Amino acid sequence: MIIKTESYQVDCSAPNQASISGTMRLPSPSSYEEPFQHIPNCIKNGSKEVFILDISGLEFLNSSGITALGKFVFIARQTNRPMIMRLSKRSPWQDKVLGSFQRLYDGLTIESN
Amino acid sequence: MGLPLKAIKNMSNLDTTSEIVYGLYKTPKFGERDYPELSMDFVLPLDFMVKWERCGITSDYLAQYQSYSFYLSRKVEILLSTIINELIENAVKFSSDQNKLITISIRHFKNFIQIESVNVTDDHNRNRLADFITLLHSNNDAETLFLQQLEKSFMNESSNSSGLGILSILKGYKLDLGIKISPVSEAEHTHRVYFQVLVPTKM
Repeated sequence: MIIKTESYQVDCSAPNQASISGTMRLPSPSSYEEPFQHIPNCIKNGSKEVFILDISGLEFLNSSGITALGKFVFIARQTNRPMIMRLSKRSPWQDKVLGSFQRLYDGLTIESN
Repeated sequence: MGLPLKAIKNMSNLDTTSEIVYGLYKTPKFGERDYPELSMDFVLPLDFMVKWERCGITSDYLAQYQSYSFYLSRKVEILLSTIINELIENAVKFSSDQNKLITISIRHFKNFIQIESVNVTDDHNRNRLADFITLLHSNNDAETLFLQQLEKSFMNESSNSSGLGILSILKGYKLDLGIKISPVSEAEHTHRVYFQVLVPTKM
């Protein structure tokens, strides 16, 4: 399943993986529910294989979007699903702001390239 | 520059009719020695911001204009745009009257870039801001507050205000923050809110 707009793309077509790219600055955490609608089920319903959330192509994300991303970490924690979050050093906010997500869940690995 | 949270004063008076200054707020009075090399003020009518994308468009424009003087201009642009966008979104969300204006200013001094948002808010939002400042004052570890707020947002699904914008600036970039709240009209219960972030030119 791929959701694509002029500003961003959310791709959940591969099993055990989701990638988010572009610019996402939606007005509130709840406004992210629609573009991210398939990701929670991918985390909950998948196997116990590692789930990869690749946001390395995401150039901008506002704090409402950070809240929405945090939700995926909490869902993985609730379901005990190992998770890798792939970040990019090209966007300085990713490492600086999301790096501490690791403190939320021992099963989360942050990869920054 | 040190962590800003340590500099936030204890609030001894939450009287809504008096001015309160928190943190490292600097009143823009420029002498010859510290006059900004570049200064831009952008005034946005709030009803104009109904089209939400304009928050990002304004942020990108100001950040791109300012970042041209830096060697790593793209990285600086992303950093400035992220901070400006959080301040504009914050001002838009917590303004009391959609007919009023918000101002976003960016001033480039020798050693730092000063970004400031100004908006008018009501008693309710002013008190929420005061509670937020109390929270900052009670715990000077911005990262812990950030993670606690994230967990709180997840537990409270109905909450539509993440409250993470300012915390993400403090936690992620460890920048100096100043806040000023000034009463505007006692009769109308309105207050002018100033948010100021200082970004060192050498990070």
